[in-house]
Amino acid sequence: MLSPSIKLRLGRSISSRVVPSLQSFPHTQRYYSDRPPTGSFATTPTHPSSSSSSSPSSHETHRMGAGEGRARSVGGAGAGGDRVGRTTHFGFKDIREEEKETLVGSVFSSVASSYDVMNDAMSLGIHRLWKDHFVSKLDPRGGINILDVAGGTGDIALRMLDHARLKHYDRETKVTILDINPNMLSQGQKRMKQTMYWNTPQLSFQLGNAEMLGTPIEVPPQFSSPSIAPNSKKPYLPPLESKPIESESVDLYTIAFGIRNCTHIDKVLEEAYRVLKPGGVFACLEFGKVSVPLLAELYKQYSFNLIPTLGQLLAGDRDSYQYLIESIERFPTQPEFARMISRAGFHLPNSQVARDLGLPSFPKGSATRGDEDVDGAWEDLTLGIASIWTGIKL
Amino acid sequence: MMSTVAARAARTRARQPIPPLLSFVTLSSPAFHQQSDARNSALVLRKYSRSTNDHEPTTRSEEMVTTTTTSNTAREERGKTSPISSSSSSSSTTYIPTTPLGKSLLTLSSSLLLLNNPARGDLLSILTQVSSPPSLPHLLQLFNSTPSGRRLLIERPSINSETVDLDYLSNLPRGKLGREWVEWLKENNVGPDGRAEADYMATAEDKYLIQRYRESHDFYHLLLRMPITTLGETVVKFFEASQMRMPVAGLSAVGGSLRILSSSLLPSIKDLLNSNPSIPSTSSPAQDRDSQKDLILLNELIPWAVKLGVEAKPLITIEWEKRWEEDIEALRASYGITPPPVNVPPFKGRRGKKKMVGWPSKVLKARADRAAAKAKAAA
Repeated sequence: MLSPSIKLRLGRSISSRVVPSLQSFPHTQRYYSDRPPTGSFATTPTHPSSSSSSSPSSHETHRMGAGEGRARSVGGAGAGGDRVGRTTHFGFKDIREEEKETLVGSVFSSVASSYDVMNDAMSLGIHRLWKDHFVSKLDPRGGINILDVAGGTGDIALRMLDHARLKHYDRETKVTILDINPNMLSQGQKRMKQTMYWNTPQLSFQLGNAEMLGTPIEVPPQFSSPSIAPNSKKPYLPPLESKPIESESVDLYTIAFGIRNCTHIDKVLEEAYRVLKPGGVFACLEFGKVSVPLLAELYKQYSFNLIPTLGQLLAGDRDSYQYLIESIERFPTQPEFARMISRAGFHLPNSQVARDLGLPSFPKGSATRGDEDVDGAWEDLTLGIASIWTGIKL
Repeated sequence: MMSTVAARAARTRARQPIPPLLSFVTLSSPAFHQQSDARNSALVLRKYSRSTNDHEPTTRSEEMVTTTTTSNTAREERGKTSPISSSSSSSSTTYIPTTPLGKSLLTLSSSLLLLNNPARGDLLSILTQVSSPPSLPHLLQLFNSTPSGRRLLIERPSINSETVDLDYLSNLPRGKLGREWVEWLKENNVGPDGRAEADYMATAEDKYLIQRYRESHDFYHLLLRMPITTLGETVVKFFEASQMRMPVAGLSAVGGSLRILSSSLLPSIKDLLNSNPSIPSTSSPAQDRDSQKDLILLNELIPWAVKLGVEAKPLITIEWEKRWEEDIEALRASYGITPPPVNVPPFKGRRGKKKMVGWPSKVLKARADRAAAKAKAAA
């Protein structure tokens, strides 16, 4: 099932790699003018190899040209030396860890502009219901600080703010939209400019790596200087910034459809634990495993046949969506992920502690034999296609 | 206009009340009843002074109003008092006239609203009054069937927080009516408050019938050993419907049964649709289980309550105020009240709406701050 382009990609040496999606098809027509030009990112000292989420961040440096032969400083020097040589998955491919961030980054750069359209097409609009249910279950209220991680286009952030405003007359709740990909973040900025929350203290955008929330990321130059002659194609957007998130500063940490893209999920959970206040809630919305076997097979057929095709048709990028469905398959099962959350130090919603604190509980009975300890720790939506996990820090 | 009304009321109050015998005579005179509606404008001071009666109303009928006025002025009106009625002379002599169409509209709408929100006491009061006309003759006949009932009609005592001495009653030994009633009030977290005035009733006597009916309701709970839960209320209403044949009792009985049915059947319907998280559940699993238990109990209790209503002596004729020191079991036996066939779970407190709390981290922070402030104050 692997397309020739992917095989080509893996076969090439690392140092000669350029942006994978561009290189894959010899004569790919690019019709979208808001795609970032390749090789436009400044060379900067790289971060330790452990990385997460999607980003053509400073890691793009080593992509300059075929002939440079610049060794991946990521792999060699740096504090992350202990992680060199470990592999992780990129969809169904096993790749070196340090490559994941890059590859994921390119996925999301190319899908950023048509992200919302693709979401609607793939899930037949049900993703809206999932997100609505997610937000209403969490019930943000009372002027809290929300950190929406991997929240690039601002779907969840907007829903949180609206929920607080409409249900609880709350205009003090603040949302910080954090994403590793500046393209997604810009898309989010554009979206938010159309709402009433723009230019209010309720909203802020941060560039950041979910695995290292305390470390700022270098902002690529075209995102740090605003548009000279703003128009609808390139509106005025304030420069992106990247500030470290302090410990115990967040009341609600949400990550929707983002955690499967992270290289080290346990590190993300640890960072979430660090930045949450005591009593803070961790909430994750992600694709899960379908509970009904017959539907699981149907779902698999649907996703593997239709989604990359849709990606090609609507976003012009089959590979990114191939990656997407493979990453869903590779994500841990619902009970296993609940255990990971528990291991990070959170109290699951089925525990008495969480119930006493007021964390909404999930219906029990979804766990099969062997998983009774995490029964009621997650909620399946649409028969398990998506799932919600929560945890509370004490 | 208001001042003349007030002045007239003051004058009538100043007159001597008629001795009980004479007022009994007045009651039984057919002329009084026939002319009662036509004379409403003269007899009872209107809430909204639509027509001014400059001539003096007949002394006899006016004094009928006086006796009620003197006994009722002490009573406060429960619930909201509209500015108009409170500014007029006395809320007890207000009257809200309604046509038969108005009565049927009020019956229909208040019963639907009560089905939705049973906590609306004012609507229950309106429903009781507005749906009562067909049953009032039977109710009056029940009163007249015993000497104590006839005494009630003449003396027209009232039971509310001002006329009962709760301290005295709580000091009675257990097993006495007064003591048992106080214990029941405490258990169910209610008080002997005065209920709102029966302003929709045209005559003072009808007004008293309704008032006594409503005030005795809590005592039926006590004698039948029923708590103030949906189940208990429904059973008592079945009993009242079969004994007193009041439409409101019948409607409430049906309404209560519907509520129990729906809250016990709906969860299983929700289960059939199988964990669609978009459908929010308004009741917890514990509440659903309670409703299912209630339904089973209801099946046993309704036949018992209806049979009791037919066989027991009319409870509305009991003069509760004079029988505080009587043994409650003897009272039950003398009126033919048998114990219920099943045990009814007691009142557990107002559940339903979950308390809205703040975000957990904010709650914890507030607690920590309070503890720190306390520690600082102690230090």
